[in-house]
Amino acid sequence: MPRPPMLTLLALALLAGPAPRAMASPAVGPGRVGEVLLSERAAAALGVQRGDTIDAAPTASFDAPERYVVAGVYRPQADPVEVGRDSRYARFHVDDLERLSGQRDAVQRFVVRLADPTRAAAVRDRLQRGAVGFDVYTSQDLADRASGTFVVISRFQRAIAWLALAAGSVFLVTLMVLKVEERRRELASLTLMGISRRTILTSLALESLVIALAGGALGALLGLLASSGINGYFQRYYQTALVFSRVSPGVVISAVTLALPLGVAAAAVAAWRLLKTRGLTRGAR
Amino acid sequence: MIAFLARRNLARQRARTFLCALGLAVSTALLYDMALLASGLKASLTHVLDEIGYDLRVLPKGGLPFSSDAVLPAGHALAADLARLPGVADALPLWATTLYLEPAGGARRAVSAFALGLDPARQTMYRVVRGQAIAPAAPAAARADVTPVVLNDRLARALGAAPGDTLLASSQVDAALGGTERAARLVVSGIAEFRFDLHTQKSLSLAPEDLARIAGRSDDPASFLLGRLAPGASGPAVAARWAQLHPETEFHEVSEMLSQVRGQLSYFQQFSLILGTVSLLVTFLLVLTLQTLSVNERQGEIAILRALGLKAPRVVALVLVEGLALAVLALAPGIALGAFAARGLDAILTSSPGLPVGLSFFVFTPGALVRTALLVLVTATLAGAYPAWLAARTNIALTLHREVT
Amino acid sequence: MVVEARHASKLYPMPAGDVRALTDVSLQVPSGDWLALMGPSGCGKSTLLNLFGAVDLPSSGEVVLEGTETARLGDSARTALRLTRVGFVFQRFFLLPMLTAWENVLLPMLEARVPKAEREARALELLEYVGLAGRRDHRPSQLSGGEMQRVAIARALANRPRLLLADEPTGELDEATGDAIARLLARLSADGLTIVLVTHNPALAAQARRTLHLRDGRIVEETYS
Repeated sequence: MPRPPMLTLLALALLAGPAPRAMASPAVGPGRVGEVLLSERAAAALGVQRGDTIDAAPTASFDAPERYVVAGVYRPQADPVEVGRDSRYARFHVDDLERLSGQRDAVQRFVVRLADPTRAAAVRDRLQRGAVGFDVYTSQDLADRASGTFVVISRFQRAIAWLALAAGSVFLVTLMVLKVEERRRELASLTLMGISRRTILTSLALESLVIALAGGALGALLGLLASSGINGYFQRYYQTALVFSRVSPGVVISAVTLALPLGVAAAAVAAWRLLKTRGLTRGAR
Repeated sequence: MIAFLARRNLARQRARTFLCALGLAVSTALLYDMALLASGLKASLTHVLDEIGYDLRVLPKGGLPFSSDAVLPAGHALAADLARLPGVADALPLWATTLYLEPAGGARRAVSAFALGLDPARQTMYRVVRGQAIAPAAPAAARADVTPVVLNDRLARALGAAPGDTLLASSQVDAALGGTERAARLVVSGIAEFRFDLHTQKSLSLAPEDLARIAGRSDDPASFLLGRLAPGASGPAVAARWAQLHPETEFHEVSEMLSQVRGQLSYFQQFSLILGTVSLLVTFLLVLTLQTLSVNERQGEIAILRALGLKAPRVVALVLVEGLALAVLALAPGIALGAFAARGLDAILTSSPGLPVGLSFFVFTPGALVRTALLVLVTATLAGAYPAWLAARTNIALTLHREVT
Repeated sequence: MVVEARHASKLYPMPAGDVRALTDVSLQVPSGDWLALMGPSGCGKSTLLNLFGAVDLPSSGEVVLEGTETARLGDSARTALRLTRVGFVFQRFFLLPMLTAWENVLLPMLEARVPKAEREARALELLEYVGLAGRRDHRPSQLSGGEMQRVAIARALANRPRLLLADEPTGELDEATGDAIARLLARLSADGLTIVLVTHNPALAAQARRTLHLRDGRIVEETYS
């Protein structure tokens, strides 16, 4: 596939980097004045709003500019591909764009509405078989292709989450082991008194369960707060409505499902190890 | 003696020491990966641009290379103007457009490809891996009936072409005939790896005049110019002179362009900063918790050490050294685990559809390794500050009394 | 004079009311003396021992150790004094569990930066003195109570202190083992070491040259053997 053009020549002339050449004009001149829609960033870069007029040209030297009135300012749909980019868009009527660009009757795509949308895949396949110099996609195909980067980012973040989960799990197990070992003398006293190992282990397991539940609830709350902070920060930084972090019920259940048995098992194993050693009855000298 | 005691203290609770070191190793791995990610793509891009070797770019206003169809007319003349500037050692134009190709005499099914028009004698944008480079000797007119090209492997496989094969190429397709119109004949000189190919991209390169001829362009278009500074020359000085000559263009040094893509890379830098901070927090909490519990358990021992003649600062040093020792234990396995994970993470990210194949997100730099090691060691040492303070303020008499009763 | 208390008192501030552990105690311990301190629990015996060892400071009065008033010294200087001038032996032994017997004896010499050859020779000599040269590589968990106390005594003697302070050294030992420790202490006293000993054991106290009886933080009686 050829590398797809990201901006038309005309849009480049409008969106000329840090120093846009198109200037707002205070008065509408004689002759036809076309209409243009600008994205929020484009309007901000040009310093215009709805009702203002701009000049547009196909080259940076502004030969033979044409005048357009800003019919509206819109916010492009949030797109992960656009994160971090200072993209600026303008929408023209097709005939205006053709005239400005000098490309008559040449477009980059057709959009087709089918009488029977359920046959989209079959129509695509049939057209593709005879296609020369073009490709055919259903709306779902395009959505899948467009979300390719997003899918990659999701996979990456999931992989990172597993690493972070591993670190957190080891931390949890270490804490539980330390907690039990801290009570070495207490366990020794209970054993000397005649309390059975089973009773002691059950008691410790219940304690660990309560701690793990409380920790899980607190962790979920902290996660919600952190997620809110992350979204607020990135949305402001990248001026986007994209959601970067979401703590769903599934995420909370996964985290608690992992933490509970880990925490309880760690405490139980540590206690069992302690109780089965003879040194426990001698206490710590 | 401090090191001796620290070693023995860590060795006597092997399970606990192992668990703590394991936790530190995993968080070290995460921190290392984030250090690699923070600068990886930029390092990778810098490396590729350095391999290309041309440190200047002249572009149509408002974009990055290959970001649009905008061209600079009279590309060779512009390149000559650039090369004549004091401080510029070399300059050449590059034009990219779409061509449609099909095997000569084969099934009529055109394959579209990204065509790069670039002087084969001075190009650094691809590396021939099979066959030969394009011989620059014959002038364009003499080669008009058979034009040498290099293809990338993907295009060669799509066409079933090998070095020596003949292809038909055109800038237009006839949808009715289902093939190319007014096709030129190309001969495959070699198969090459292109530095900025996307994963599914089909690319070819030929001399720019040949490409312009095939595309029916008489304006000698250039997508941008590549330039090389003379040793010791000042980029800003050249930029200033160029801006006076050709204000309708944009002049960039490669380093400046890298900062333009920073916005797109910033997500990964922010991400790595947040996650790096979290991993340091885990390191801190792990050492803090372990050492605090350990000091509380060893109050009696600490009191007797003080009674025997160990000064308070030495006790502080003992606790800090233990924290540092835990981090040292975890460092090598953590870095190794991080390096292993980085390969997997890089494989995920580089599968992104819009990314050139030659780029990586996780690039080893000595700086990342040193930064990671220092951060882990310093954090683990600092985490021992509170338990060390607890140990230093041990009341000897009261503690010994409590131990006995 | 190795150590001397001059009208020393010790007050412990407590939330439920101050505790006066020692009141106006004056005594001298000359070089070579073996002094036993006896009295009911809470009478201030261990407090006096701690003042003598510069582990704690008097609330009023003075304690002079090796000619230096301890209250004039900072924590670092007092610690240095303990390292080289005073040896401690405790009821609970307080050996470091992760070190062998030999390493426990080496510890004070390591801190005092005694050269390696000298400290290793000294450690071996001390273990032989206490009859445990053959157990040098055993950890405390592998030793009996009496053996641990003998290692603790060897450790206390590592830096050739002028003064040995022993707080209930036979408190955790059976009679026979306690007698063995008592014989060891007698041998040390005969070799010229100054010993101040806290004990509930009259038989052990009887081996000392003199015994001070304390009650409610004051010296009430002094007896001689």
